[in-house]
Amino acid sequence: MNVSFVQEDRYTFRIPRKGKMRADAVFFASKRILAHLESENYASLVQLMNVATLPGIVEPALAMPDIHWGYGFPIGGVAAFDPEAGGVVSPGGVGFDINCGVRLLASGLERRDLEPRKAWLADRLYERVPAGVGSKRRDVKLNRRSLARVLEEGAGWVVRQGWGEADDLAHIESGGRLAGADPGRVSERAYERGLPQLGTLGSGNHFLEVQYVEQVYDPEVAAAFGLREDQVTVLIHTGSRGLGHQVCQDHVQKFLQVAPKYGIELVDRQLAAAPIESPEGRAYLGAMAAAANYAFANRQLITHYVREAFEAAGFAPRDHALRVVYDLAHNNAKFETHGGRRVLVHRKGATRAFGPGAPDLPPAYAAVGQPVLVPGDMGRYSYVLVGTAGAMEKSFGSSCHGAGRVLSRARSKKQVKGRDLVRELAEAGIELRAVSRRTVAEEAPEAYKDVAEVVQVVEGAGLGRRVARLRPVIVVKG
Amino acid sequence: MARLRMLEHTADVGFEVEADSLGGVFEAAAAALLRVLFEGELPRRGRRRERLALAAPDLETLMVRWLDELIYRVQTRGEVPVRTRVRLTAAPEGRRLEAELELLPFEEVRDRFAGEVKAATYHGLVVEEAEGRFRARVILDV
Repeated sequence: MNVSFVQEDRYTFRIPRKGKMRADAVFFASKRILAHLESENYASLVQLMNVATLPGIVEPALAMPDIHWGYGFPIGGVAAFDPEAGGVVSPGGVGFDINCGVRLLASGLERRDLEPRKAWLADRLYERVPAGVGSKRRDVKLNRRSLARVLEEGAGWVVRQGWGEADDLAHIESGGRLAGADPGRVSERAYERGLPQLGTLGSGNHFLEVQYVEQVYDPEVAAAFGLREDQVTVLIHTGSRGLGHQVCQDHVQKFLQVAPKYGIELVDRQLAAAPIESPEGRAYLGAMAAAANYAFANRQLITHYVREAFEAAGFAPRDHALRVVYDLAHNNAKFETHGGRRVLVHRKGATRAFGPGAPDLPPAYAAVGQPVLVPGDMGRYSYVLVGTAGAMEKSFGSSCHGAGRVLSRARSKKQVKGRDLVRELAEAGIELRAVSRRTVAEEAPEAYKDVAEVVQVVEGAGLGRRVARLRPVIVVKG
Repeated sequence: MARLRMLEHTADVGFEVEADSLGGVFEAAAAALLRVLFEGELPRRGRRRERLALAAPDLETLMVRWLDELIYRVQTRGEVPVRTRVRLTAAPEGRRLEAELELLPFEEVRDRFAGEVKAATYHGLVVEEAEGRFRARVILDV
């Protein structure tokens, strides 16, 4: 497909509607990001244009500056659909890893407290937070009935087992529980896949990092988030594991069968969709919310393991004082009100970035806006931003979710061949613990854009504002 | 004789396989999946055998189901299909796949595990016959 776009301002580009598109598409980029898009033959922009062909889309289809080539939707894609106008829900617009997201913990420790015990803590985290296949904690056992409760109750179920604090729940998007979850819409195979995996990190780009606050850009908002320079923080990135993957698989297959019945023409089968107001659409949304609750519960249980690991490394609870700053999703579909209309906003590799006074914010953040957590690669830094009124106006209250890859996994491996990344990172002050050497090579820092570039575009386009930058000191990978 | 080529994809992993029969393409796709899941060579003999039958309205859907089924066996059941024999037939619902899997316990090859695969996707998916050869192209979400 031929891609032509016009530049609207320094960081905003518009692809006017053409062909089967039902709405314009808008993306945010710098010159360098534009060059990356060109180097992949605009494959991700073609995917964005494909999204704009879906029925009931509310103008425009959007892509955040960490956009890159995915499957179906591009990664970094945001699209809102109006149920009153035949709008659709698409599991491909949420992704296989339903409610994949990031949780930031802040501690009472300073960087200098950590330094003497850094390697020891890295080992304790690696031992206590299981990665995935074949590794499970024997002390946390679920049965089918308790898993159904997890799917209904989300992070709250985990806290009620004693694995967390009530205050944790007050700092999770949607309180750690999506309403409308219907565990009865989750297949038996999804249950089977979910049973052994609650509290596991997974592999690929999922990680657990211990960091410190290297720089504060906005002291007032940082104070509202409870962040200060040199403070030790923890970032957890994982999702709904095999249970979520199975929910997506099950419903993509169903949607492919029913799309013709609803007259939905698919330019890419991974965009399989059904009307929001159809039995199939409602069934997916019920199952998706259940999988989202599993993801919230997963990050909550990992938080419990992280607290245990700090204690095993000699930090008493009153000293580490680990508390949840925020937990947000970057793969989901949510009903929200934008421009006076109730719409279903799909975010695939994009983060909600609600500004001051927006609904559904924890009371502590209502006046400043929500924290937006933007992980970078494992060798550089991550950012904490704050949501803005601009995001509410321009991007259905959305912002970026990370750095975005620039190298394929194969290229990344080739590029780092013969290098000892573990030693390189250690020399830069980062303790790396990883199950798979290949994952380390595929996730090398140079495989990603510099997240600072992405964040600069977000800020320049008014979709968020920098609050703090976090520097990793321990990285645990599956 | 089957051929396998890994494809460049920014976020995920893709492969292209070619064989002289349709069954051979599905067997080669299983081998490609194992190359993504594991590093280095795996033993060619399993500890036990299992039969598997799947049906789908078309070849592409059958390929997705086949790969998803194998991902489930490795990542949930902890059994690695180190060898597969596949036969395809016509069925009332479209296409039917019958396979014999040779399975090895995951624990025996755990040290070679390279990371999870979430699922096979429909994006850019092709299963086709051209000039007497059969070909498939698949992108996996990792």
